[in-house]
Amino acid sequence: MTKTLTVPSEMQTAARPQLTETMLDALREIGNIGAGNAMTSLSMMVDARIDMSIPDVGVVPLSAFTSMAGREEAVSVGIYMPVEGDVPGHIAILLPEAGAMRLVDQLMCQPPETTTALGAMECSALMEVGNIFISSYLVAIGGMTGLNLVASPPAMALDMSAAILSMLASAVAQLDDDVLTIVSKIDERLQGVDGVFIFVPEPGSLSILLRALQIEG
Amino acid sequence: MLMVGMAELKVAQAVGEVLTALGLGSCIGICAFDRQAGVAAMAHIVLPSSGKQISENPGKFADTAVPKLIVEMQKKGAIQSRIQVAIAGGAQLFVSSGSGDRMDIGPRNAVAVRDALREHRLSIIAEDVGGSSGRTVYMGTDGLVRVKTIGQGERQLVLLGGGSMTRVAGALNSALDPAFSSAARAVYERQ
Repeated sequence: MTKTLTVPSEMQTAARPQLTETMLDALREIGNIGAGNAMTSLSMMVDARIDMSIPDVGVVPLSAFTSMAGREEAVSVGIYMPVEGDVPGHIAILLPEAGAMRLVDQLMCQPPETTTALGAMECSALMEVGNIFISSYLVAIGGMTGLNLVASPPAMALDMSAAILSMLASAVAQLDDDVLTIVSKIDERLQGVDGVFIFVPEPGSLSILLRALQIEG
Repeated sequence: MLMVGMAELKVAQAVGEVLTALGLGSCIGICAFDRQAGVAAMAHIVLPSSGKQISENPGKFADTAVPKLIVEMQKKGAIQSRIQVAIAGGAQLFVSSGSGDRMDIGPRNAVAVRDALREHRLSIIAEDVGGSSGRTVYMGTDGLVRVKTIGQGERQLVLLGGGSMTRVAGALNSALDPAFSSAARAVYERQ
């Protein structure tokens, strides 16, 4: 399968088609299928219903990327995973500290507010959740498109949300000044767990996804 | 406060203005100051090198941001030989079992920024670079550079253009000591 990196850079910058409404719909559908499957697996892990918003799909300028999830300096847990295979890209889950602690309580079947700090054990539990969550997302997209999306080992950070998000943008910034993002928000009203889930396909992956869905790029 | 987002480069001159880059991870905030001209500038670089490609966004890369920073400051009356620089950022935020070289953008940015500054004969007076924590960086039009991290809160990194004492001590990294920074400020305020 064609690796993005082998495409000459001048071709690649020009390769991203102008996003039409049909393409945006298709990407929204991809995000939706992925998030739906990921939510089902997360709901099973915490034994409670968790929902996600219809994904937002858009092209975000680098300069605005880190303010996407609200307060840039909010302490958040970030679980990051590079995606390889047919659709190279980058995925992260960003959970504000309070929401992450609520999620830990649910995972451990503890009463709410039992967890008051995120130590090694809590972080390791969250990383495992992130791993399963992202893998379910990728499996669903793979099933829908017939493409092979390979999850890499996850990495984790507890820091300012902007610092975590900038990781995704820097990963694709070499060729582009703006970033194609597919974002779903975890619905906070159900379990008090807020957070965002962000998929950033590499510049060359967009046309691969669209082709698989038989949409002309 | 004047926000400097990823890949942006901004110059400020107004009294009391503070250039701010929020939550730098592997990115680096290059803070530059010419006290005589009263010109402060900040570039929020994302990656080490533009390669051969001509970018419409010079603030994005270490190698293109430094010359652009100088030109923009000169337009406001700064003189290259008077410009002093402090840098912050370049962290490696994520710990991972094996995602390999993707994670080391921070350290590579730091090397590229130092090279670009050396090439343009700008000296780094103080730096807070590397480690595994994100940083917010402030560059005031008074020359004061501050850094904030989650673990350690906010502290003064250096007072740029604060005279020979700042320069020598800054080079010895004692600028990291808050007591020093207030001493530097006192020296500056006497001038």
